[in-house]
Amino acid sequence: MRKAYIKYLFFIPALVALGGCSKPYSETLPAVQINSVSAYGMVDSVLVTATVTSQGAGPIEYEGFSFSNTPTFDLLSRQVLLYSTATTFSVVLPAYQDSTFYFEAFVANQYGYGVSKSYAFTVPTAKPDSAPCSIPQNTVEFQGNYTPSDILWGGSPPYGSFYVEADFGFSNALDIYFNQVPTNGEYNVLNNIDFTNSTSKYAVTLILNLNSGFNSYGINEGGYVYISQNSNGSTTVSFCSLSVNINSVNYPLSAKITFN
Amino acid sequence: MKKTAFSLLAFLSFSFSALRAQIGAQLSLVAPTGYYSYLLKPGVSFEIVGKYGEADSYYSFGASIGYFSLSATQDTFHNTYGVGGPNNALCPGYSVIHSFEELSFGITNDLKLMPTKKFSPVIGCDLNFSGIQISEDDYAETLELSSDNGEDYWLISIVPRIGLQYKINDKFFLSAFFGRSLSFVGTANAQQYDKTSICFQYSLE
Repeated sequence: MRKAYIKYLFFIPALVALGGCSKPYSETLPAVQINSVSAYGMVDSVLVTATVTSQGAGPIEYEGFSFSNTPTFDLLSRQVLLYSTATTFSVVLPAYQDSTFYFEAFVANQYGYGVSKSYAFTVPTAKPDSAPCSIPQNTVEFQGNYTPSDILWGGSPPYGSFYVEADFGFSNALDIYFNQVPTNGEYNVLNNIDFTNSTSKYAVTLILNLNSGFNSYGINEGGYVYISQNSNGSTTVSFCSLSVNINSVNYPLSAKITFN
Repeated sequence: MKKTAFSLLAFLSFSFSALRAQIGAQLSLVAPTGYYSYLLKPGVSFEIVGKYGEADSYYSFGASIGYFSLSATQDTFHNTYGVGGPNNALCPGYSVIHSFEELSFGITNDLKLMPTKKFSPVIGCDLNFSGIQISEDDYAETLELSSDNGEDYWLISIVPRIGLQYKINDKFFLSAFFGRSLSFVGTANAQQYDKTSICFQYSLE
């Protein structure tokens, strides 16, 4: 009788031990998938959105994306790390039109990280774009409306690789510098662009020269210059609501210039 | 760490043998739960337990010393990472746990519900101070490789437990317990493990 009791006593830890098996490490890792990639605003960006499909064995600590223009790439390749923990997360990434890019999302918890399947996206060709305001053709609006007396364009300017110049008023000129022959889309107005860097492909610098160039002013950063490649082969540059700071006063500047 | 454990075991055994008390040997299955359950396999711990007080009293307390080592659930843990580097990026990597050892010193408390009976349910609670030694390699791309041959940590845990004691005769007792170790302060990651034990106890009275 006593021996039978002892036998049952040993069953208790044996049964409990069955529940004490280790768990597979793979269960700890979070999982994520890319929901969508779409062209975003300007011609040089895409909006990538991903969703955490499983947080694994611990809360999400990091999220992010990496991308490349080759199908196989390392997670460190052009990575954007987000210190966010949202279930759905998005980021705008630079990606040029007519190029195919491959995107991967990743999420990490205290155990490790998980990576989504690669998502290929070809950035569409930008459509002709024009400033969201009404400006007469071939007009510079700066303290009055002027029709340019001369419009010049070409390569080898002092900045970038292509320029458009509109001479207006009495010995004034508006110079617009691009890093490429401008094509359809929106160009970000920046000062001090590193034109040797390909990431500035869709950036533009504008300089207002007054009094035969004795007074030069950089146009304030922010806003966009819009390019429309017209069916007749000409190109129209337009913008509105830009500003230039002259003696601590901001003056509005708009223009619509077509060259061929 | 093993040498230290055996020296302390010998000392504890000697000091309890000089008193009117009980001394026991305890084998436990240690099954990590929570964070470590994915990294470490269950293992067996060995403890020496000394208790003061009459064998058939309701309450007894004492001290214990124990040791166990656990092995990793897999050779290499892929998909680990580090964050940093010149671009402050998430850098993919891997980790290898070479060894995990724990030496614990505890204060043990038992409440026997039916101390004079052949079978008695027992409720207990231990307070343990544990020294932990982990040897591991961590690698993250572009970040430094960290090879850690025995980093020491410490933890303080409580171990609530329930069990059953069987009185074989006036000198020998056999007990089975189930408890859960819950760390609440220390330098290592918070640790939890289930502890299923069998204790063979001898009364020195």
